[in-house]
Amino acid sequence: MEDGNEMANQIKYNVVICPWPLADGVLRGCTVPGTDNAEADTPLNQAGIYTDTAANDFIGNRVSNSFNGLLLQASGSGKGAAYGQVCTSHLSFGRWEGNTFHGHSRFGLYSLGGSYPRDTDQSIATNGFNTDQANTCKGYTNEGNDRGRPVSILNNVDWHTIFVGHYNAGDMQHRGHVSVSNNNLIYWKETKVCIINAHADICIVLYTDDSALKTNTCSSSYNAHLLLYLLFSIVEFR
Amino acid sequence: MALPDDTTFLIERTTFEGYVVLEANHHCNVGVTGHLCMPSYIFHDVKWLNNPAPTWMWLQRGGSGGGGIFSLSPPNAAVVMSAATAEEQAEYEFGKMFPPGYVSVASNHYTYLLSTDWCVAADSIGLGTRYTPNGILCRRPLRVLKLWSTNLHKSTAPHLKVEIWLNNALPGTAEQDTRSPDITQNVNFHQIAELGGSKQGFSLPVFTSQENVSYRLSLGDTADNIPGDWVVEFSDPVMGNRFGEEFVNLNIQGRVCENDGVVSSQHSRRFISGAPGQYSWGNHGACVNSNPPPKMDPVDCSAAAGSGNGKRIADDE
Repeated sequence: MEDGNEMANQIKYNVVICPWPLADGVLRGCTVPGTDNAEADTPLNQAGIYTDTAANDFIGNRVSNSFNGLLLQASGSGKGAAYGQVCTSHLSFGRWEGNTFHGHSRFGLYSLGGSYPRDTDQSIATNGFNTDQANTCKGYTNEGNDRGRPVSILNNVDWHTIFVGHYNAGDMQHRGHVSVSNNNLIYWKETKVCIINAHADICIVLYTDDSALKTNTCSSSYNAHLLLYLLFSIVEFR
Repeated sequence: MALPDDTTFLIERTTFEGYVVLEANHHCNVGVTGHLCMPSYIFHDVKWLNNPAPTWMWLQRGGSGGGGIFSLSPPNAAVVMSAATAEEQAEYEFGKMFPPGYVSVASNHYTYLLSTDWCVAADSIGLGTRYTPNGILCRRPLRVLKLWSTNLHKSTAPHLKVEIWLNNALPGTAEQDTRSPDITQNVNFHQIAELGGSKQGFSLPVFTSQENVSYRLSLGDTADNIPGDWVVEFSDPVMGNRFGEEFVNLNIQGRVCENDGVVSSQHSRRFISGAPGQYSWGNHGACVNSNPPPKMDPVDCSAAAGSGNGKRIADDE
């Protein structure tokens, strides 16, 4: 999704496998030359799932061997007909749950740029546009209260990638996250004071509820053991 | 794990297993990334298993002196501190990220910690590489105190003079009027890039009022006033909401701290998010000169704990 005003779509239970390595001299992994989106399609940041907006559901998807797994590039103001019509850095998240990213040569789960979800006025009735960006995309109410809209990213699995995480992101909870044998189990540059108000579902930015952050270089049998253990953990607590 | 800068980052009920290095302030001072590079990483009920890495915690700050605090959560720290023997202290699974009896670590830049009875240089117990570079391990929890300055320049900025009174018998900062400080340390100015007004200031690890310690902050060797528009920030409302309100005994030279210097973790953060926005200058944070803004509204974390699904857009709920 690359205009930024897409919302309330459900991207569920897809399997995306890139069969070629990025180092392939001809195919260059799963890159697609010649499009107008270098981030999504070229070796710059090619991704199995690419989106400019967080305001859609990503549930139960499995992505393997692309350069990035799921790339959220929420750092602009829309593209094409949506250009200037939507504050993509601050859109409320949809439901992000149960996605698995494996064997990526850059990020698995990845948000690039500033991702600070807020209580904006984006709606289907306005074609996914923000009609009052001055007031509903800003960080504070007139009284200085935080307008963040916190999100829990649930039960994400990242395995055998280089990076997992965010450049700049806040009001975000990783819950039940399993990060195994990644060069960087989590990668996160800046966050913010987490929104704290009576409407928040979460109080804290954290890894919680039996998250597992593990690196090992052991044999495949040990990896298998870990996977069994991790699956057991998820089942046990859900 | 490349951990972020800014605020309290709470890691709860999480298993760390295998070769894991916790890096504070990843990307601090690279380009324009980072703020004061002094976040708190709080660990609650974590498991720390079979870690062969020579370094467990890396207190880096983008080449400008170490930053960040790693600390057990208040309930976990209380259990470790109440243990009678090293053997007993070593029994607690959540405490294994620190040597028995220790509950926090901060950078070796904050040497005043070594003048208390609670802290040691990691090198002195053979763990300088594990808590690199030679962090200071403490048997008491540490929290972050920040002063967000504005419009200072690295070449001319004064240092922060920190005076510390230990074993305060009087409440708040009252003891400071009766005797000289026990310890004095200078803390250097910190700035990200040259952004003019923002992403600059001072920060240090502090003990809470529970340890009967009080602090006085001023500028330079002559102990000049702290400007009235700088933003003072102690700990994080998250800590109060999740574990219970906590306090620091604080005197800001030239300003008035609320509650006779007993400053709460729940003090106003309005207009503060990451690097404080321009609207917070002089009006919010702690120790605002007149009419202190109200504390942040409390949140019942236990009531919210059951929710997990991502927030849906308003029209779709």
